[in-house]
Amino acid sequence: MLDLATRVTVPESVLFRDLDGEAVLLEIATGRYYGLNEVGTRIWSLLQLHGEIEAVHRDLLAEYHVPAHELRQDLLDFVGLLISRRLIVLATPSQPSPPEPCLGLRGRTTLSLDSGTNGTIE
Amino acid sequence: MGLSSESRQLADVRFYRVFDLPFASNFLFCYLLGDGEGKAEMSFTLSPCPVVPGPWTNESLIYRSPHVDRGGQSLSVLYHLDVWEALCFPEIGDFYLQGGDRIVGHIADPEKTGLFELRFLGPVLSYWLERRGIPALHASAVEVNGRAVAFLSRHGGGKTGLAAALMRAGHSLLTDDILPVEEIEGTFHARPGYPQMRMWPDEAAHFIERPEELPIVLPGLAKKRVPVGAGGFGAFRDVSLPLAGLYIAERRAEGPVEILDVSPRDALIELVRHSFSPYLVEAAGLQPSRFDLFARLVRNISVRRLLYPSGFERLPEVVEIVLASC
Repeated sequence: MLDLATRVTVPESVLFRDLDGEAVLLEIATGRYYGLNEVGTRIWSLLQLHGEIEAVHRDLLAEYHVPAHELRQDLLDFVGLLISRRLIVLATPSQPSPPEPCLGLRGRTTLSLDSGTNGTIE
Repeated sequence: MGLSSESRQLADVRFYRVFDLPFASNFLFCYLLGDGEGKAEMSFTLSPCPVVPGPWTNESLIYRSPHVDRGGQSLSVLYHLDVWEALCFPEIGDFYLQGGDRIVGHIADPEKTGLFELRFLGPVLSYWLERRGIPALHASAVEVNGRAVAFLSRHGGGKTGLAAALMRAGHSLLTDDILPVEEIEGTFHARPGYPQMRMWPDEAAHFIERPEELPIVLPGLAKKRVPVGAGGFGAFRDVSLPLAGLYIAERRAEGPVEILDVSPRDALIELVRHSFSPYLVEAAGLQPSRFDLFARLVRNISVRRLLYPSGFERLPEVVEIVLASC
């Protein structure tokens, strides 16, 4: 069951590139690629920094003017989507916590994840 | 060509140039290639038997293509065999890559020498360049004002027709189908292919004076082989050129010609989508560096979506609008 206490990590097989606040994720093992909008990119960056969803939730509350319970549900839905696509995985207890982030951005919460598969034929 | 498969396999060593890569080879190519002018950075020679005797173990297997033939056999396989990388195309032939300067080929079936040649000019050379940090896109490209303008599209998406239309307007072909992109000190360059295009019969009928005289690419395929340059169609530019812009070409049934901006994020997705041999590159561990280069490219090069209507009669209008946007 996913909740704010859940810890996650990004597999080495997932590449991330930030392009002017939006991002592309490329899952090497499958060749699937995904686009993140600005908020999704921000969440991804915070997940990489914190590992713990609760810390991500806290930072986002400070950045976005939305009710805490709404943000909590949106965030857990988004993390669940990332997990279902194997873009992040649940962390094991032995994995250390990443350092605390440096905040400062403001924006609207619109979560999305566009995806596709590299279908180029050899 | 009037030559048997066996007799055209071996020849005196000649010097060729493809993708700005000069190489020496004793394989007699049917395709018109650039002249290596006596220079070679790599040799491509034929061996009468496999360079590394089999059977090869599963431990040496790096990659197996997810695309299979009717018999369920992968269309290509990559092995790491001691000092060699062996890129194998079952029932066609094997290519053994060693170090930075040697490729040895073994033809499995002389009746499939044409396919063997296409594999070398396509996936083998593009993989060779990828190993050197020069990834390839599925694209055609032409020269406009001393720079390269490229068109990305899926198979049948019209990139050859667009290139041909620009050639008819006086611009030289840089490449048809495979575009290697090289980054040199922060600037991006398009490497030239070879002076030949592959056109569908209706394209050939539209652009070529006597299309019935054109040979087909391979038995069983409809596409025609169109020589480019002296004695052929249009002109060919055999030098690397700075990349000016990329157009993601999308043909639609009707409507106006539109050129739309694409965000860097979506541009990167399109480059990934239109990259050459993605599965092989991923299995060989080259995807991260390719991804990095593409990310830098979209920050520096204009990438736009070109929506245009079907119909050869509309191509002059498309050419005019594309040239105005360059």
